[in-house]
Amino acid sequence: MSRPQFALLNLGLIFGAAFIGMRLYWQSHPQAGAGKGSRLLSARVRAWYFSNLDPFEEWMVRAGVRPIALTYLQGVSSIACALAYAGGLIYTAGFLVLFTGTLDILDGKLARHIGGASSRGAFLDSVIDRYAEFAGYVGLMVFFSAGWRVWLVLLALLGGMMVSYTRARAEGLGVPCEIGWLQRPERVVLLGFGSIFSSIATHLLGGQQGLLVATLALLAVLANATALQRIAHVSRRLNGTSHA
Amino acid sequence: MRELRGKGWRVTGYFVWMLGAGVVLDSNAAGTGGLLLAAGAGLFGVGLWQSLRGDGGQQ
Repeated sequence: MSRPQFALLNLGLIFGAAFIGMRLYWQSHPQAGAGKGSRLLSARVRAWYFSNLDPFEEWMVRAGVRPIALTYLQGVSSIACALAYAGGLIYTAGFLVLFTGTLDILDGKLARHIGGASSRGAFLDSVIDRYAEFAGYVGLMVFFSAGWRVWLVLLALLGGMMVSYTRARAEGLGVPCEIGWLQRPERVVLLGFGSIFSSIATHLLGGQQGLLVATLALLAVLANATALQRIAHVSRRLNGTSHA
Repeated sequence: MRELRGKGWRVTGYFVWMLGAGVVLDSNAAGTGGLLLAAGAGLFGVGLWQSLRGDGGQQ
């Protein structure tokens, strides 16, 4: 089987299995859409994905795995992701983006399950999240180093960091700020699947990772738009209040 | 590892399959990629078999 044929078969298997899994889950859990969702990642999709991690959460509880161990593993995985992007292994890097994001979900679930969601853990988790996101973009900068596309990577990185910073600063001032089109889960899904699709499309159609460039352009626009949404939201909420 | 029976092994197999596909598509290490693909498919199959038999911890 040639690589393009394998790429196409792989695309069908990966998304076919996920689609069937989602349909079966929704049929057996019709109330799954009741939680929090967004336009890109609905509550039903989130509920399905979280349910896939339940067996691992239970196994880790029994095995005595600490949430912080998953947080550190997330850091290691993000470095591997950066190296994969830098080396042009775009499919593998996309997979590692999704894997790192999954570890981020799992450490939070595990911490809540064992009642060990400490302030220290939350702080380390959010700091390592930022490093993890930064690492992926550094790898992309190395990959796109010779050309205009590196500016797209920089803009996407700036947007991602500003989305996180605006929330952290707003919550430091006592304003809840979990709003906007492109929060971290959406960014992870866009970059991860964008990279995987781009690699498959390049194997099928040739070219130079055009879909990844389009994904980065979308991230650059929407992440910065999300940061602006948050700035406007917090400005409205703080208008007229004084800072002690 | 009883907690992983059924859904846990299916999900593990799915991730291992994706990693194997990445190795096959991104590099010339077809042997390593093929091994990962086979392991992923095997784990997925075991998980599916456990679920169909009804002895999976998580469906």
